[in-house]
Amino acid sequence: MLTRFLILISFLGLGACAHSVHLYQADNSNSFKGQLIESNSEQKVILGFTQDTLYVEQAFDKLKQQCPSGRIEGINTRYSTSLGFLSWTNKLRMRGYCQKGT
Amino acid sequence: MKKLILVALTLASISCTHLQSVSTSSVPAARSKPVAAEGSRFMFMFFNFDNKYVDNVVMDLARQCPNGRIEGILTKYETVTYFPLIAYRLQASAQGYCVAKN
Amino acid sequence: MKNLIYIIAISTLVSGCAFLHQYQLGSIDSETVIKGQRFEILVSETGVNLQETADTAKLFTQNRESHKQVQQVQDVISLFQMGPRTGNMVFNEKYADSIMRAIQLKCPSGRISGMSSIRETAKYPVVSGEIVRITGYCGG
Repeated sequence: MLTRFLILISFLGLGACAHSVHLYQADNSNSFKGQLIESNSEQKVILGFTQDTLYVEQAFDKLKQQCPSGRIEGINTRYSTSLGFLSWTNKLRMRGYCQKGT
Repeated sequence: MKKLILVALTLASISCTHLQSVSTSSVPAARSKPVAAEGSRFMFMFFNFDNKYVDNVVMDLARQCPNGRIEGILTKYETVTYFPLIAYRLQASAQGYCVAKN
Repeated sequence: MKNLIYIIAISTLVSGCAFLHQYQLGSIDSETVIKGQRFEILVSETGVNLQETADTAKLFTQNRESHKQVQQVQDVISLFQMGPRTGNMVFNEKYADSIMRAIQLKCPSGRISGMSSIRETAKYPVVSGEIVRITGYCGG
């Protein structure tokens, strides 16, 4: 009984850090000069009920705010979901190079 | 029975939005003129014979920027579920910035 | 038992499916693509299919009671792993984050065109390779 309980707990522990990477996109670039900038956004979803996907725009806006008067090149985008108990968290991560004066 | 129908209708009225894919392109320094376009189709069960609704997105964007180039494009493809398996919407949207041609 | 082992071994050898989930292509500068150097970056992480794990575990148990217990454990774990999935679940979502640095190393000049991003799965029994593959053309 104790062994089964321990096995169950260990599986639950493993299950706590399960993720699914849906896509990774790497965009073209002209050069890697410039400051590396990064933005992240998340959306917690419970039982699948969610009205919008505005976290995508939030991540993109956060990235653009870090480079207000420059050009952002070579944007890498990662869209993944962290799986959880009757809920999950959608995550978006964007990174790029901010080139000022272009 | 009536309560069950009421619960079903309430659940059905809550739309669930899920992001299928996202892509980005390099963001220009000049961001004074944002443009956006969207193409969507309401789906009943699985009856879908073409995906032409996405073809209009490019033309709609181009019409908003007749003498320039569109850069910094954020593209999203999402599904909005109104009632599982029965009624949902497929939506492709794109937003970017109209910049002058060099 | 011997036959079971042969069946599993042969299934492992002959099974193996590749699934393409996403394909994205960036803009193409013909000169860079035709005259430039093609590069490819591939990163992967081991994915796990819990349902297949439970089914395989059931093969090694004899009685119905054990089957039920294995299924119950799998059902409980599934409650803790709800969410949309592409391919199988992984235990490290950041495995693809090294791609940006790898692109820099492959193409120091930074002049890249025709970049394609592919998300695919190489499926085997119980486990899978969750792959992100980036190909591009580097101009001088």
